[in-house]
Amino acid sequence: MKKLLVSILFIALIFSVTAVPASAEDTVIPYTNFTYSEADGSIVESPQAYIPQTTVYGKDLGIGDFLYPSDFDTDTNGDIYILDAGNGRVVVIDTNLQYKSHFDCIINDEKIDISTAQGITVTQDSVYICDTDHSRILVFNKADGIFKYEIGTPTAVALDDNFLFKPAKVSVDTHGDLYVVSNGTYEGILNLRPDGEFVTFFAANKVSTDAWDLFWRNFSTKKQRKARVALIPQDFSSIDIDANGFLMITTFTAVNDSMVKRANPGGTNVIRTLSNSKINGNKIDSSFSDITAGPDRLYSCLDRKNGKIYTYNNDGYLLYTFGAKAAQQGGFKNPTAITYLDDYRIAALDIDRASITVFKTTEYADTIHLANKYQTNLEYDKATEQWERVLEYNSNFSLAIKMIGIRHFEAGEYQLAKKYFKLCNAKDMYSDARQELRSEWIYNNSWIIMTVVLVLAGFYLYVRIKESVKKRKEKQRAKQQMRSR
Amino acid sequence: MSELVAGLKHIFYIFSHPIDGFWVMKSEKKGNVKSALVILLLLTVTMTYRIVGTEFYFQSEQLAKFSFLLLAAAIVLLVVLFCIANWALTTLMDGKGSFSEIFMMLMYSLCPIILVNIPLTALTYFFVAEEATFYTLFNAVSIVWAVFLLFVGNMSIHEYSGIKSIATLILTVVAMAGIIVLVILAGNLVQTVWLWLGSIVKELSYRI
Repeated sequence: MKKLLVSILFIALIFSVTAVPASAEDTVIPYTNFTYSEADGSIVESPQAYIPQTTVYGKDLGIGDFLYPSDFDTDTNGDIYILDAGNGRVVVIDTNLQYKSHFDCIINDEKIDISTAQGITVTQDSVYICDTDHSRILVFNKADGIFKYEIGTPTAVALDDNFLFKPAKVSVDTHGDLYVVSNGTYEGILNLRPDGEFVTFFAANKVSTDAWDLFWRNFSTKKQRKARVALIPQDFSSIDIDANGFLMITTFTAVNDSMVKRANPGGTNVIRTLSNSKINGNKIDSSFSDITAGPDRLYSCLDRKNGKIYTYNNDGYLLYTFGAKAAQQGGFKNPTAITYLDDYRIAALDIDRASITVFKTTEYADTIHLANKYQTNLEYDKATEQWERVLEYNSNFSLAIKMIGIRHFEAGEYQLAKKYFKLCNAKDMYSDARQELRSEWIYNNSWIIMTVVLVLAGFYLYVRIKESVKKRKEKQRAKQQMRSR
Repeated sequence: MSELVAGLKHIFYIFSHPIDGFWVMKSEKKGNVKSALVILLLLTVTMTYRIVGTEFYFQSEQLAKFSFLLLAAAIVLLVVLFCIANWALTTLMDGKGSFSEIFMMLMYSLCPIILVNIPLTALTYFFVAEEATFYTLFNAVSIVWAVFLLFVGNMSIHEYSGIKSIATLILTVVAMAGIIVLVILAGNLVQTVWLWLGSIVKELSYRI
């Protein structure tokens, strides 16, 4: 009897151990992290930067499943506003993914169909919804979800008569001006006044073509020209406003090898691309469909095609990647939107799985973030410390190597700087370090150079004088001989 | 040995008197194949030094991918190819030069590149980014000089006019490309036939 009891207890113990639910760290993560080498652009395998924290479905919140949730946005309090398009409602959850409230989209006591709505944005007091196929932007009161007004197709001289207004994504700046990405509109981002009055097209992409293409176009007939891809600028996929009021804009395909633009208030592209690799995801078939501006001028882009998220820093260096198309937690089926939460966490919305996956940072990513934070705050000594810690995790990380090299350069340690610049293939900086070393060498050894020059000059003079003396003597001797004759 | 030294000394005469130099090489047998072979060796060695020894800033290719054997094979192959193509062409076009003369002419003409390789590589340790123009300039000068010598040498040993010399040189390059294509095709054919024979033997061995 005792034996039986013991064995039952033993079995129960085993079960209790195995029945502990596996935490996120224990599960297999369906992706790996990589960046690109500055030296030759090859892939550098890196430690995981982000791991999945939780996945939330509509039924977890107790309000029934989401249906085609197409976009979400966070407000300044960190609350997440989910555009649950298929259900015609907006769901609000707090930053810990707990249900807060929701409101249906009701106009004149009638629930409207917004199943094709593609974008949502939240400001201080309003919620903007892009009702794409109905060519309008709906504005709701943020506090109680009561319909305020709608913005229809803008009319202006600059717009065609048959201009199709298909708002897909919208961002609102601090003045309440709207920046609208309209599907199929390649003339630029639409800049609208708060009441919907059209101001201008903004940050248009330039037509990209090459001389060879134009050459062949000259020889093709009208029919052939029609059959070929038209020469029109790339249209936009997403837009976000960063903390400094700059517009972060993505295009589906790369413009001058870059899929991201940072537009200043004048519409000029001011994105920094110091990296040898351009801002174009995996360099092959990436297509950025959403962008979110994060803290410390970081920005993350969502590659919908491959289900990957790429994070770049202010200088355009790829910091890390994560996410994949997979069935496990952390994998996507059809991700449509990403946004930053607190603590650098990133939430991703999957329209087909109708779920939100939240990714949290690892220690590796935390170190990079800290280094980047000090870097942007111009605290270079602290930043260097952190970059050195990053190298302990990943000794092949080109950005960290370069930043440490720059620090050594500024401290006047050119020999060390040279070493680091060589490691990360920063040829121009490497040459600068060498130039400093050369001038240092010349400065320290100028006495040798001067001595050598003086000795040579002295020797030359000595030889010349000796020669002329010799000649004079010979002349005198010749004269004497002449006289004696 | 003295013959070899005399042949190498003749290079400097060619540098100062290109037209006369090549003519004397042909008519008075001043050059010899031995010295040309030494030049080929020097060319390979100095090219290796240049690729391996150049300062990091001026390196254009990835050192990790460099192979000495591949470089040596490429240089020897190109030289042989040039000689064959030039000989075949000039035989048809009333050229008076023999095969060994063509080989010597080519090797003597490439000497400026050898001459520039070592000091240029050494200078990269002194140059920084701003002086990169000098690097390109010296490099370009050596190549232009070599091509000029090739042109004069081709003219002298085949007793051609200037225009005919240029034409044969261009045609030589075309012929080199043609030979490469033909060799690849022939190699492919041989491989196919070999596989075919192999399969027949296999088939027979199963039947018997």
